[in-house]
Amino acid sequence: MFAYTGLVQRVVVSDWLVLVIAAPLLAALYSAWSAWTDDDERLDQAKIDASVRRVCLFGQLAGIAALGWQVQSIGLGGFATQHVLRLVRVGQLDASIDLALDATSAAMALAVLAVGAVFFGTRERVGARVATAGSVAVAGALLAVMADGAVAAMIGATAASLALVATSPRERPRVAPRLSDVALAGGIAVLFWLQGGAWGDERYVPDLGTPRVVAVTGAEATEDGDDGPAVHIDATGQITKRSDTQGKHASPSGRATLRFDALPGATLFLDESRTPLADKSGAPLRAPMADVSIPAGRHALRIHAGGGLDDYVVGNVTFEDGAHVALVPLGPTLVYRHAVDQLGLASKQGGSAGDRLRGRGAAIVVAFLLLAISALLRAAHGSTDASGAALAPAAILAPAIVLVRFAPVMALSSGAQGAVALLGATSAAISATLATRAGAWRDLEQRLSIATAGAALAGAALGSRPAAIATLVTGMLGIAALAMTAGRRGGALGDKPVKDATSRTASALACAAISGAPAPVVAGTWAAAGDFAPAMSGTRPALAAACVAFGVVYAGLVSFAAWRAHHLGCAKGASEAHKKNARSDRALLALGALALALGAAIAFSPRLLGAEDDGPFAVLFGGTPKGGVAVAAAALVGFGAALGGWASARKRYGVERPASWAEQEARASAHSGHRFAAWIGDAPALTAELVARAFARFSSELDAHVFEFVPRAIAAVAGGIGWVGAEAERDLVLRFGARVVSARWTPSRRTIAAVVVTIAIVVIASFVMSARSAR
Amino acid sequence: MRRISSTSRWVALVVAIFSLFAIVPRIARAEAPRATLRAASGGRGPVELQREGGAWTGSFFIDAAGDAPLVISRVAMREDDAVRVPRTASVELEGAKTVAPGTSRKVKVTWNPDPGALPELWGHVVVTTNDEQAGEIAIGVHAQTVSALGPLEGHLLTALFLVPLLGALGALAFKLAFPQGRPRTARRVAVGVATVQLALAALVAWRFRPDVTRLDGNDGLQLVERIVWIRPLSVEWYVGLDGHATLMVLLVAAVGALGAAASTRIERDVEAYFGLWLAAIAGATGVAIARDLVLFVVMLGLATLPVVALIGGWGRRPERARAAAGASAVAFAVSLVLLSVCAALLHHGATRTFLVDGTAVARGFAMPELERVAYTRGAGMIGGVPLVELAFVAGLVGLGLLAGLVPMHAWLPTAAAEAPAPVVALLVAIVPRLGIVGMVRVLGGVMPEGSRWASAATVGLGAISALHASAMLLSERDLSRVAAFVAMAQSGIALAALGSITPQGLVATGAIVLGGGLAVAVLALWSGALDDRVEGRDTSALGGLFSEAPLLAMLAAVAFAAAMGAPGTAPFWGELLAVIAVVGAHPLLSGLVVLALLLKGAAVLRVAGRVIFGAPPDGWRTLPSLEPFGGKFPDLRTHEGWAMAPIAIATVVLGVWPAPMLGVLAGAVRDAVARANLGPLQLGF
Repeated sequence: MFAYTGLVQRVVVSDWLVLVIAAPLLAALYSAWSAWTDDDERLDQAKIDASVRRVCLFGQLAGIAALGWQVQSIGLGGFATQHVLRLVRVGQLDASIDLALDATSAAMALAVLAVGAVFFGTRERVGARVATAGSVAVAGALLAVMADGAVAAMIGATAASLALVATSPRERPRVAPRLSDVALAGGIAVLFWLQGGAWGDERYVPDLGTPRVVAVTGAEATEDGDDGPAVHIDATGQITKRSDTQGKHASPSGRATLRFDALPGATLFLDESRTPLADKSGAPLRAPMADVSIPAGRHALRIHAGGGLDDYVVGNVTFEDGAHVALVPLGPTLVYRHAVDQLGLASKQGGSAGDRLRGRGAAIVVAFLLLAISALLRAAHGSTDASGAALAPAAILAPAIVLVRFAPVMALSSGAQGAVALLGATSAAISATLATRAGAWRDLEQRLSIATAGAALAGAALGSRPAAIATLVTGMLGIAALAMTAGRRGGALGDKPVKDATSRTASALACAAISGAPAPVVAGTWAAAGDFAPAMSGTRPALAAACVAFGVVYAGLVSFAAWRAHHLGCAKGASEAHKKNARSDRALLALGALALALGAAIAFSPRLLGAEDDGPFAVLFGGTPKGGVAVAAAALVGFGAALGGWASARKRYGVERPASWAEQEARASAHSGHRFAAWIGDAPALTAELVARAFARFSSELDAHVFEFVPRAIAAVAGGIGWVGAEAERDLVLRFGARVVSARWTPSRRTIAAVVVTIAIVVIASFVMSARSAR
Repeated sequence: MRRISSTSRWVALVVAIFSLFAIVPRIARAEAPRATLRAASGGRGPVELQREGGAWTGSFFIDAAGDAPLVISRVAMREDDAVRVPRTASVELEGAKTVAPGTSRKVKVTWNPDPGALPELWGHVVVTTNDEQAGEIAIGVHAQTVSALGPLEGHLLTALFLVPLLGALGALAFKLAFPQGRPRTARRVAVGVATVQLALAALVAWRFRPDVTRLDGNDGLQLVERIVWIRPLSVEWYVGLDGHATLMVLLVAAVGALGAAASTRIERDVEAYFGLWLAAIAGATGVAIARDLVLFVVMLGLATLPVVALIGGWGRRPERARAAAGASAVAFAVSLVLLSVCAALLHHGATRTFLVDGTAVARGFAMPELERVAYTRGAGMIGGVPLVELAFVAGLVGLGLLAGLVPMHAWLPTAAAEAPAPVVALLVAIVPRLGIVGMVRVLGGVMPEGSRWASAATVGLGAISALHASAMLLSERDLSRVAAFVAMAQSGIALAALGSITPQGLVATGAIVLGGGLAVAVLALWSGALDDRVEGRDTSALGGLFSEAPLLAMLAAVAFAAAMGAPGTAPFWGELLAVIAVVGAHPLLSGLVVLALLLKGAAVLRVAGRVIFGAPPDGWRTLPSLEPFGGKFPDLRTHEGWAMAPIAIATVVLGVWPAPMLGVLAGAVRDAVARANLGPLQLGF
């Protein structure tokens, strides 16, 4: 009998996922070593730069190869995990650097590595500092997207941000990433506690009757996607539908298999055994572990997590012959998979983690708003200058995955979904509006990144995770490609246009990708409306209309901004430099094509991102079987808006644009709603700065006039004492007739020694006397 | 009837009284047995167990000193509701339970340490007899396994304290022997002594076993040393190590050694400077390891007094430095007075216990014994206020002064602005953390009832302190004061975490002790490097260091990132765990903590952006202070690298892999949570 039933993610334990991140990190180490080399020992600087570039490029390509190998080994619908490093285990909080590979992380990791590869591939020379920082940024972004928990993702995101800053030390860093860190910390703290337990007046009260680890049998998501449907267990623990995969685990000798992938490093003890479960060589098995053979029968499993924690016993687990049993943690966790898995588990009494969470709607709203703010602030980091501009989108959009991963928890609260969707959509719309008038590449990139992150958040909030991932991936690739082509020269838009045909083509492909990205979001949000609208009873038409309106506005504006950048940044007419850099430009072309192809592939086959639905156009048309035509129409409207943006940008900024376009634009901006949008976009930051400054001034005044009063008074008293001391130090001269006696006392060395020795004697004597009195 | 004279009556009365006084005690003595305990080697104890085969054994005698037979009803290792000694220790009475007057009974104590068990045993054997006047009596027992360390085994902590103290006395002797001074030799000797202490601290940390709890005996402490110091006051030299102490010892030793190495600009009275420096390090080490409340207060005095002298004697601007030293001295003095009051109150409410040798005392100062006292609100009232509440407030204010909590903080930035850079490192990295360790040990450990009573207020005070310090950072330009405000903010966050009374909060304090200490230490030492070059610590005149002095800028980047609490640096774990702890316990107050972290991050980033990034400021090349260097800002020098790089590297390594830092707290946190009665389910992961 199993107390809990439901669906959990099937996991394969891998030993090689870390290679994907290690490859660019090793390249970074090499670059750092090159930078460290003494001047005297240096080879020709150009040679060093070339070798650094090659090593870094090789690091990215090796990462792609490792990623491909791992994806191939687990299958497209599989899920692999690897424990790398334990970070902290305190009470219920367990954070490690664990890596996860599934379709979602694979798609995003591929995008990050592709950006990194093209960044290093398109440069003939790259300085060791930029190479080191660039490789670290890629590795950090990879950790952010491949982490199996929010804490590790946070570390990766920060590493990427800091590395990005280091690529261009002449630019002062923005405050936004640090604020993003704190918002993320706050968000995950709230999210952690709302998953179980409560703090009473005097002590922590755990969820009564809720175990920390439960055994679930057979009820797992499929391993590689073609093993048939998952098994479902009814309320009494009886298996109602068997998986085809179970036959693989059956053993004629009456054995079952066990999986335990929580609490990395923990060991398992079967029944009363004093030795942990071991592998064939006799070495203790440590979590994460999978497919551990257990004798069939009823067993108790003792989990020894170490780190000062109590052992935990999962009792009375029946291992049927050939059954596949998983130990699943319940309660507070920051591991995405565990947080999501427990939502699908229900106790025999019918209660589930989801039921508990539904009663904490306000906390869910707070948690996910903080996560959303964190993702937007991270995107607001933008690039610093041309050195890191190409890497910036990958580094700053990757952390948005934290919210996307936790989205199933958010789905329990319509308030949280609504709040995040509203925040994301508003941010996206405002940023896209501002992007249409961006005067410099740096601003354009920042605004496009915020718009992409906002759209992805809105998509995730409305239940369309594949659409959110599609948006992020195409945004990463497209904006990076645009930065490396039309924005290669940096500075003001249109100042130094790129003239070679290949760059122009790559730029156009990137713009197409960016323009196309909104289409899945439109459809995705519309698709999600089917689930979301019932929660807003009576408002479904309004919600649907809002989704479509947002999609149209967003698609049109982003498309316009991207194509405007293309037209201003690229001009016709090949240059000599182009001939020299033909090979690099082909790489750029490949990146632009990849941006388009990956976005299209995800849009046409959401199964790449782990979506349940399959078939062509599933993202566009799937998810709402009842309203297929309406969804298709909405998607086409969104796509039409993107086309409208393209046409408008071409007309305004194309080859035949007037020479005085900049002045005209400035005049138009002064009278349009653009200023209003700019004001809205800047208002939060300005308000925060204003409040912070006011608070800082208040604190300074408080310190100066209140808190420092005491030390000042003391200083005055000390001054008085000093005067008295000075007076006392004067020679005290006494005259007895002709005899003069000076009473000035200046301690001699002998006196000082005597004082110190006396103190020492007193201390030692105190010990000795105590010892003597004991006898 | 003949009347008896009044004189005779008085004489008879006096005689009768004298007779009564003379006879009654004899009758009483004759009828009451009297029990005393005597170690086999003579004296009271503790009985030293010796190795005998695979076990450790020792014996003592129960003497029937009275005139009546002594009936022994119980001989056992001292236990109560909690484990006191390792479970494998046993005691056996040899012979009958009745002891004739003037004779003795031998009691054998045996300890069979399990493989992998603690290498030491500290405890008491208690004896109950029919000597009702004496009640339960006890004798201490001690065993120490042998190891490759030889005589040093069992005295590691005392050595850790004595090495810098003897170094300090040596520096003084050096000055007396060579009045003309030999600064280079003094500097080398001081750095050598501090390095030896660092090596000892590393050895201590290596020997420390994180998973040991009270259930393993010895009150969950390791490397314990305990002897009676001042018997009339029941004060003991009682030192021992738990998780927080281990982190603090490492921090003190690291800052002590690297700060000494960085003190190259000290040119006046070098011997006295290093003598005071080593004395301060010895005192701070003593605070970290002290397990007796009086010893703790004495060590605080030893740690803080030299700091005052260092500020006043070697300050950058003599007049201001003397004033700052005066303010610090008063703050420290008030702190010591309040802590003495706290100690006295706790002592007043304590119950009967035994000193290490077995002497029964009505009350003691040993913290593990005080931790067993139930200081509930009904335990005692003074002026209508519960004793525990008074003691808690006195302790909080006293330790808050050291930690730099608002509104008791003003001395810290003032002193930091005037002190030389290595002393700033001592001021911001060590002194506030003495306060934090004291809070963990005294407020959280001895007074869990008080902690629970003041939980919300403590979290609120911590959050407001952090918020105020972070706000002050926004407008601060002096790098030393920046380090001081960062330290203040860290103290506030630590207090908030501690006030949450959660496991995460307790671990957060540990991470702030070591990780936060390293961060502000490197920031302070970096301010010294700045001072050396431009004769000031004003950051507003700086800029573009990344292009001018890349190595120095890299160290600064690490220092600022750590001061921000950026993920991937050691202090991040303290701040993250503090947020998690406070959100769980006091969700509304957690907003203040998050706000403080936001402000701190933004403020530190502003300073970092000004110093490291951007272009060098106009007129940089013509700065008079840079003239000797041809207008170029000199990059990292070798001695600066040796002083700062190890701390910076440790900050990053512990940020990426915090398990070694946080793991040592496992046992200490488990004990603390058990004392705070949070229940096993919270920990039962």
